[in-house]
Amino acid sequence: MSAQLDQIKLSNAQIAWRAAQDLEDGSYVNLGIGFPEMIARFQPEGRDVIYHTENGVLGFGAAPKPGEEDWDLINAGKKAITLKPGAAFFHHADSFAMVRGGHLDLAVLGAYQVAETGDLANWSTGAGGVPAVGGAMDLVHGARRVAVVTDHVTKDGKPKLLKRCTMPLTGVGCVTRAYTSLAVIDIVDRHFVLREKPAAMSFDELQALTGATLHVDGTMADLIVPEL
Amino acid sequence: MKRLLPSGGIDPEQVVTPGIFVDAVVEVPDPAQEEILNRQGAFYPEAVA
Repeated sequence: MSAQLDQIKLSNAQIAWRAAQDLEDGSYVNLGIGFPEMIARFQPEGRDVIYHTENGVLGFGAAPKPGEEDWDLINAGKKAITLKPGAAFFHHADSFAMVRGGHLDLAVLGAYQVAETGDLANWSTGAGGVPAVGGAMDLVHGARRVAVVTDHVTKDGKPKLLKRCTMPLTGVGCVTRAYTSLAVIDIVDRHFVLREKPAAMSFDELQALTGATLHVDGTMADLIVPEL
Repeated sequence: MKRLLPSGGIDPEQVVTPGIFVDAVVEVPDPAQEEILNRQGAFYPEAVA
């Protein structure tokens, strides 16, 4: 199965593409540092999304070309950004008033583990881990919707979607949707509800790679993404 | 607000209230000066005798 699994599973770019299809026109969105930032590259045409970054910018655009960086203009990941018309700068307290005040429509983060209860562990692998929670603990409880993008299993094949997280939590009962390398899964009433899976994989094969029961409520579809 | 500008019409450094906090705007091109109204003893709604 593992060789076959490598052919079936989505690349990070394909996971980001799938997550980007759900970006809503006119929404305020915070993308986590690293992998989730890739989602902006696949934002569907015709939709205007206003991106927020914790260090105090709304309305930033793509990364500048090499050599054209303005190092006063960075995101929370310390990467150079550009501005789109209508951008605004503000200080840290205002930025976190936006987050904690429930003004963000969506936050997308990476994940070490996600539990069927919606608990998220994404900042420390436990003993010996480097602590770097950043703004994540505010984002997961402030944004109206919280999604994660992640591999479905760890590098050694263990499930990342579990009944309960074993690593230190970022937030409790906060995740509403998971885009993984093998599925799109909603978290509804402390259950994983499978929305999409690859056509080449059976439900039972996916269940075997998931650490908690997958539920289906009749709306399951094939997980279809372009070659990227 | 006295004047509605196109997106990008305000320098990002000069934005006091970012749009994320705003649900609606009303353009009033020639607003009354409140202090002048105060001196005139005006109040709203008008008192009913």
